[in-house]
Amino acid sequence: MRKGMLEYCVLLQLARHDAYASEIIASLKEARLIVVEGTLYPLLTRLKNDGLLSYRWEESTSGPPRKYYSLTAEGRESLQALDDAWTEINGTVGILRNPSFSVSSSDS
Amino acid sequence: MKKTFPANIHGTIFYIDEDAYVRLNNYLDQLHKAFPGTEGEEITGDIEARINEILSIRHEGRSGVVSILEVDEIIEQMGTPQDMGAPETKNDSSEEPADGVEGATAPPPFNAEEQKRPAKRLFRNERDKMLGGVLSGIACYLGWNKFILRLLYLLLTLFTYFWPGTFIYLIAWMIIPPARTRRDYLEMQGEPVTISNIGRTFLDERLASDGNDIGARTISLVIKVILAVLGIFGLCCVIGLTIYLGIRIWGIISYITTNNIYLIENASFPVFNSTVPVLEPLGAVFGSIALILAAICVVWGSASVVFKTRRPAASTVFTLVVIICALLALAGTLMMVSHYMPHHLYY
Repeated sequence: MRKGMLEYCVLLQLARHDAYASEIIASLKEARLIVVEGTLYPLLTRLKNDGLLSYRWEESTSGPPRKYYSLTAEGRESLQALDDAWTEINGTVGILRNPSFSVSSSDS
Repeated sequence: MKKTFPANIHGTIFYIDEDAYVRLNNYLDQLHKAFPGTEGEEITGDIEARINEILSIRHEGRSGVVSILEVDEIIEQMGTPQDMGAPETKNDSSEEPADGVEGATAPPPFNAEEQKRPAKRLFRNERDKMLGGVLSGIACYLGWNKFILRLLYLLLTLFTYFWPGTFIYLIAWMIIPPARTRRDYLEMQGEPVTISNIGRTFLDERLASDGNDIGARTISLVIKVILAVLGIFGLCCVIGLTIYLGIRIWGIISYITTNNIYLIENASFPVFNSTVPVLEPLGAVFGSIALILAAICVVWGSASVVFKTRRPAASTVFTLVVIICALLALAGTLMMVSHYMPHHLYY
């Protein structure tokens, strides 16, 4: 569940603008989505190998060149799919969590 | 002393301690094992790049050496292969010693809870202090509320005879080291020393500096007044005791040279009413020297607080305390002997 969330969030962020790993980490940390940074790298590699992401090397002013990731067309498609899924889940959960809903849900 | 050598971490040269190198190498080895194949190669490469970045940021502008502590922090920050969602392979791989690397006996440091809560250390908290940060540091150490501890201390000190609390405070001030580095502050609070925590202390620092309210200043002022009074009292003691010491020495000299016992008899303590003319005054001499030293300590300590002059070093205080104790013991022994020694043995 959490893993799926992470994927979704990474795609979301890359949809806004291209980024390299440390930027993604910073924002995910801010959102308290990841505890250890290492989690991200296997994920990025997997997404890239699945064809959702691509990367290019970019020189940085400090240190070695950085890998900038961007969404591929396929990535955008699956992001769209995830968006839809998320909206749907959100709607369902929203109904269940609504206090006026007759069945109290202890498990959310 | 440690052996240090340059290591190439993703294209940048870092000087790294040998033990730190071994640990980092073990960690990367584990990652390689956890993520096999070309995909794994890429993952570990990216992680290495990140480590390079972290180290570059930390060592920016100065040519530091990467220590084992830093490596541990980075490993904690990056997480174990299992944390990263690696397939749960042979978990015992962390147990086997790294092949061919000398001195690789240290277990990987990223074994979950082990590192989470290091023991707290007692420091003086100079960031949130009224005088020397002693109570603030102790409160941190015990996990108490600073204000309550200060209030408790102040009440205890004010309502005890001769204010022993002030002596204890001064001694504690000299003995407990101040927290200087950010690492010290983290250890003082019992927080693990990690990069994110070190970053966080910056914020805390800002917050703490705003919290010096009027109540705190009042307490600080009261303690300063007490110390000033104590210092003046100490000064009087020094003067009085020096005069007394002079009289006693004069008494001994006049007894030895002219056999005149008048001064000795009149200056003696009634308790030790001199059965032996020389031992008791000799004891009194040592005793008064000890007390003069103690009084000087008090004057010095309180003056350093009130006038913010240089404090005596901890080693100086230690030495003085030892000397004072030795002198007092000697004086006590001499007086006891002089008191209990029968007359006829002497005369």
